[in-house]
Amino acid sequence: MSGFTDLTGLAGLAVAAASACMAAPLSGRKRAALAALVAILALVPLGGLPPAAYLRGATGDLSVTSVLLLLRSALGRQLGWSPTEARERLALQILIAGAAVALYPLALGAGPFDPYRLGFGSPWMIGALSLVALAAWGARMLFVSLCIALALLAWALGWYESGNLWDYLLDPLLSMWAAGALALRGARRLLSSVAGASRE
Amino acid sequence: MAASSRGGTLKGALVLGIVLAACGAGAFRASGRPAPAPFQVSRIQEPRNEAPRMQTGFISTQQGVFAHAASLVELRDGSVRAFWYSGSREGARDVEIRSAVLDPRAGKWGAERAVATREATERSLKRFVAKLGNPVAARGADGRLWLFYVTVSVGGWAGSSITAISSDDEGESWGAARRLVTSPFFNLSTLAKGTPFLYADGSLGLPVYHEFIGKFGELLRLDKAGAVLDKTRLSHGRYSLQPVVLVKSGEEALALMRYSGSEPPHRVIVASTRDAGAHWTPPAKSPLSNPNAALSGVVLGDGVMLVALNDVEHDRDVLSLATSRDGGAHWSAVGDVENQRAASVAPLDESRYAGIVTALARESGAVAADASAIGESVKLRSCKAGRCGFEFSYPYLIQTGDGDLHLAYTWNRSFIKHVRFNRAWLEEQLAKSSDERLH
Repeated sequence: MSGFTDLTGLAGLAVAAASACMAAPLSGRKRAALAALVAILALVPLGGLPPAAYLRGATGDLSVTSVLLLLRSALGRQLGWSPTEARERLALQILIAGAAVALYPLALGAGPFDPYRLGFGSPWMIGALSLVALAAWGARMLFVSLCIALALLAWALGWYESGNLWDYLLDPLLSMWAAGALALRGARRLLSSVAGASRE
Repeated sequence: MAASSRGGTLKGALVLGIVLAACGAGAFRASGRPAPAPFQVSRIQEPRNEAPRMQTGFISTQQGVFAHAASLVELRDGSVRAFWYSGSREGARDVEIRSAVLDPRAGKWGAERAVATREATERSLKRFVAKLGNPVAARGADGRLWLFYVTVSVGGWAGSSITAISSDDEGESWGAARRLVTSPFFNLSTLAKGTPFLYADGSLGLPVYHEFIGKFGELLRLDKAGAVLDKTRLSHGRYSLQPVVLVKSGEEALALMRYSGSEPPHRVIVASTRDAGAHWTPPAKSPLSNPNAALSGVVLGDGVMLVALNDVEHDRDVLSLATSRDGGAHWSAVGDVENQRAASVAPLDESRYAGIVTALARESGAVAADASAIGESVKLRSCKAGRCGFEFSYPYLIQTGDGDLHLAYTWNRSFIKHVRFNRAWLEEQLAKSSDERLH
């Protein structure tokens, strides 16, 4: 099993490396070729370990949500998909940042309760996640719904080396992205309201 | 327009299908989660009418290295396999997990060899590994031998995670490494030191600890394949480490932890459970002293608890044994396995220190030539700017099927020492200790 989960873990990081190339100022076909080349190179062993394994040593495996966001962004750019709706992106960022605030401080010892324990198959957590996924679907936030569902499905299938559902839903880098995006949004709104007030 | 609407409906239906499938798959996996299990109580009845017996010796033989954090496990033939880590210094990239086997009849340790290296671990884990640390050995319910050891990819020990390897041939060869994912924040920081134990359903209890920002004890429950089934907190806060779990009955256990706080009194931290680990009492200070150092313990055949520890509030130059006959409420000192407090009172220069260490090595069973080399080797590691100190730390205590007790510990950060004794010797020491108190 460890061979399979090593492959999925490294593949997630190769996706991240390839997605980074999609920002390169190249034509569509060249950009796709560069991304594919980088993804392959990230998995080719150099001096015993592939480059993705060095990244994996520092970051661990990326969550399913991270991989889906990266894939959505990379494929969207390449295939000309319309970007995720602003309200859906905001909902996703709020969900991720909220979960991170609830999880990380307590899991690192801020109190006696450890929410990470719920990720080892608590029916309450699976029930709550199912409800959130259905609620997102009902609100036509299909990408949010898909992120939660695929994370849950991947956990159920043992996709990564972790047996904890939290690790499929979010990771620290994703949490930093969500918190950063929300902070930026808040700062922009604050600045525009200050600018509006000064104009008055 | 109609085509776009149809496409949207199809997409919505597809996502709903995935959501429902995921909910079903998640519920199915959760339903397969093993139910809580009581602790397995395994008591070894010590032989009666034996003469008191105690012998000492060195397990590790490499000179001029840093050697630390021993662990022991009984093999099927009654011999004992030891593990420890050693290298040019703590945290160096050349640190390896090494092992040797005690021939119980000859009373001698065999040649040591590496069982895990940094390079082999990172190749097997498919991720960069910067250094190795504490090994802990366990016997699974199916007879397989497990070795859990600390690996760090980035940063210091607070950045640790645990790697597991297993052996089906009593430690002669080892399978692929598996990383235990036990923390959501870059899998920081879980370390092992305490002796593992079994649950009644065959799952394995691995006492671990967290030391990134908070410092607290935890308990991992692993299935027969080494996958993490559950994790519970043994304590919380910023001052308890390296738990040792002493199982009293199927439902009751005591967890003893190293105290890493600065507030006196410096005492071993204790927590207990009455529901097989579902809940633990809040961490409290026990009567046992602790200089921010690891301890180890076993429960003997009649339920008496025996611990090996630095039963002093400062420094690690005294290593002692203590017992409790009432489940950990009260403790009695058995005696010191090592005590160099008197020698440490005045500053020790290198030549006097090397002389004392050489004499101690000889007393510990080393032949004269080896004892001198040991003295020189320890001097190199334990003396700084001409001032030297003693350290006897990181004890690891097990009881083998013949009733004998085996204690391994770090000897001056340079060697791993072994002390083997029987219950009769322990009772004799207790009686002496009691007589001394009476007089």
